[in-house]
Amino acid sequence: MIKSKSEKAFDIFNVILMILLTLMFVLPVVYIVSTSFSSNVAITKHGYSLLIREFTFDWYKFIFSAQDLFVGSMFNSIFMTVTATFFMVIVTSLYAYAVSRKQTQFKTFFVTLLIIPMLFAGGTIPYYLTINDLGLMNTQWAIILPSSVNAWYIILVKNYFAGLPDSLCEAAQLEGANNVQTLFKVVFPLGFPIVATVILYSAVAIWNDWFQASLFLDSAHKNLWPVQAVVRELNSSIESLQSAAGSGSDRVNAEGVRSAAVVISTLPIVIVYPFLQKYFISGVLVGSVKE
Amino acid sequence: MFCIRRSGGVILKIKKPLKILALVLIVITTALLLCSCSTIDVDIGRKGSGTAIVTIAKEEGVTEDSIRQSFDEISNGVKVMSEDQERLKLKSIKQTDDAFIVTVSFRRINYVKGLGEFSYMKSTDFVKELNNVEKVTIEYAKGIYKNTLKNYGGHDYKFDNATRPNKKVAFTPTDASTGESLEPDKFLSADGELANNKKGMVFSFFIADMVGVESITFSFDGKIKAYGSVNAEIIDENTIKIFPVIQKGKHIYFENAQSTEPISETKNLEVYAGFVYFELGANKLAIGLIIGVSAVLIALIVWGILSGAFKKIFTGKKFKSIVKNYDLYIMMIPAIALLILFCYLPMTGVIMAFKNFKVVDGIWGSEWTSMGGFKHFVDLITKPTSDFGKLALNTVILAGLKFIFGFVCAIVLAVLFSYLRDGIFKKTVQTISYFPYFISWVVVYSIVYLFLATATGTASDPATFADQGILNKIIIKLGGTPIEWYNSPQYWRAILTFTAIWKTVGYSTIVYLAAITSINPSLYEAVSIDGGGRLKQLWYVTIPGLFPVLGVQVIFSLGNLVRDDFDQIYTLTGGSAALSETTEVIGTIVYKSIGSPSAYSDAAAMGLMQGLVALALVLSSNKLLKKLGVDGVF
Repeated sequence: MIKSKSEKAFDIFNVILMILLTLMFVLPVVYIVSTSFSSNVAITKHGYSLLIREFTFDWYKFIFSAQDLFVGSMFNSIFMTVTATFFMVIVTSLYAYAVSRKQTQFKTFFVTLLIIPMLFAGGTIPYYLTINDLGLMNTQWAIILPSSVNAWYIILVKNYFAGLPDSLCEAAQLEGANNVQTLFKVVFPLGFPIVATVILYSAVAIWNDWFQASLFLDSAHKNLWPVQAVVRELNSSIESLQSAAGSGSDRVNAEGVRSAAVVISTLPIVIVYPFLQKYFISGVLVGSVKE
Repeated sequence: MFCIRRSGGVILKIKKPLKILALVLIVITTALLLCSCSTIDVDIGRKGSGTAIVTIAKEEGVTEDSIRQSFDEISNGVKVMSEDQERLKLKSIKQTDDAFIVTVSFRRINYVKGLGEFSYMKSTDFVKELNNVEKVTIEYAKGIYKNTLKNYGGHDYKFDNATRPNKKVAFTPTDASTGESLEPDKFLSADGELANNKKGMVFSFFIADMVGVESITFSFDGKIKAYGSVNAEIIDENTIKIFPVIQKGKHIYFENAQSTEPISETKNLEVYAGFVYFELGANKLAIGLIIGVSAVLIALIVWGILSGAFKKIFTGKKFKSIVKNYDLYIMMIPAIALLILFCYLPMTGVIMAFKNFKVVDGIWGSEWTSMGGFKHFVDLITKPTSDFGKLALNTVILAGLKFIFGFVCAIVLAVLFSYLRDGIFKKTVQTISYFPYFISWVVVYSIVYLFLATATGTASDPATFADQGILNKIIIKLGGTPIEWYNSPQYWRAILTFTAIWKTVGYSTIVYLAAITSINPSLYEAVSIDGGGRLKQLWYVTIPGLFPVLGVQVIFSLGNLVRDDFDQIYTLTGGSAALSETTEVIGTIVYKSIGSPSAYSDAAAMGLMQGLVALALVLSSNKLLKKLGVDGVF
């Protein structure tokens, strides 16, 4: 097809627009990263800047050495994310498999059981009191256990499993496999794209959460906090930092430390993201079609 | 119980306009003075509600009307002091030859304020509270009189310290069955019987200035085990009679509603004080329910066996299939258990929106609000002091802006993406645009702060250019004055909308882009053969091709129109009061109420309304789309 002049002009304009758009997404990140590597003097003199001025590792050293809280919170986040995601995968695939099988009776009931929580929730206060009544307050289980079940993920996985050829499961069961074996030996490997998608969603959601942590882990239990809660506290009060820094506190630059904390707390996502990207796109598309 | 008589009441100087009112008051006061309540019988039920029967001797000036009038005054006074809850209700006034018998029902005696002070709680809680220094309200139950007592209508009582009875002498706990004195410290200790009896209840009371009352009888729904009071007499195992003690003190009160100077009067006050420890009897209602339910179950089983319905079920196909594939159902248990605990159990908690939530009573034990339980809702909507209108408006405006601009931007971006040639450039742009979806709002806060930071200096310590955020630097370079972003609520609707779109727009394009690529290319060719350029292709092919996907997306997000992006709003604004004018939404208010239980019921009511409107929006839009011929979601 031959392009007209106006179409060519549009294409060029489009490319320029896309470059600008990309900058809009990238530049803020560059600012933060540069600041995290700039020296105290440079930050005080110039503020945030696009380029690294007077390269230093000071802020990273600081959050890893002076800040026990921060290092601990990274481990907390890793623990909670891994545990909750692991539980979620088990719980989700078990239910999704069971509901997607032909033999299952009362299927409508079991699917409705999933749809109701998607449409209506009790709200923050009743939820908070429930967690309290269950005795989960100030434990990480208050975040891990509820994150292990998500009706929406189950429906996504269920739809995908239901689309797999039934003959494979039947073949496995003719050879004597029970339902659990069929799930983990046959269905699970075939359905891995969708499982990977929900792993990504769930892991990112838990990693990024500060809200539940702030509800269920009070400030007397900071040692249990996930990293986002700590970063958030750094945002609002740099004082906690300065007291941790002790005598050398005047040499600590709030912006520098904050930026370093932000970079470190986002790094795991940056590392994992490229590997899982292709999965989440398929996941979004599965989710956008009719239930 | 309500016949608290005012003493004093001689009006010396009366201004003319008040004369008539004062005369009326004198009549009422006189009526009250004449009223001679001989006895009060109080029957307290399991939850602290019950009835009081007041026997008033017939005398001159005591009529049914005068009793009603003074009751109204008392019950209104009590209502004002008891969190605006109707605590007392006049049930009936009966007459015998020589007395009026007035029956009054009361709700939750521990929350009745203005007629003395009462507490009614589990004995385990009671021991805990004793050690809680801040809870002075129950100190009198410990045997220590509070110095002061506030009654309805501005009547204050201050007791002389000197004449307050010594704790150990006055309130030595007495065993109800043997009449022996018990060692107080042992009785109240954390490992004593009180602290460990799960069925134990403690009722404590402190009533002053009930002139003319001979005695008060309390009866409980359980066996009295011990009591502590100066003058008490056990009537039977459920009932105890208390006689007053005389105590010196000051009665401070206002002559009438118009007076500003209180009158203080030293006199002997008749005081009833003490506590009763009893063990709750079997819950008759619960036993009745259990018997009823099991009777119905047994009847059903018998019917099932007799009629052969069970035989049908157990030999049916479904049952056989369930037995054969039992492991399928076991596989569902973990998810169902978690769903019940963390989704369905909290749902039952919405009941608290219809109650006055109190921590000690719990969600289920708290009492229902007036107006058939809808008081919180009515208050939120009609009370001028309620911010609910503003909150709801902010919520809807913010959500609406994000809704509209979110869809427009995502579709425009998807179309622009579709015109890029496949290759590394397209892939890179897409990958980068998706990424912000995966970073946390906490991190976005840092990015936003980078742009909006505002440095405000003083004359001696002026703000430096370096401390300003990027936007202010640009403004200064262009010759403007820097804006205090974090003090300027007018910009925040735009800021929140922009950041929400910045974070999600790339991600939202995925669905539309997939829809665009799945459009049959021959359609484009058809338009181009007819001489249509890209604009026409866009209008006649691309946009209509997006409709089905758009429909589903709209339903998914329509419920969001009344939900707030709490995570975003609270993180970016920090819940700042300076920005509350445009950024305070239902979610942020609910979050702020955590930790102050008195606000829970209101917060739950707001949350419930929000949830129900969202539900209605989703369901109705789903239905509408189905009618329009687009596939619904559910």
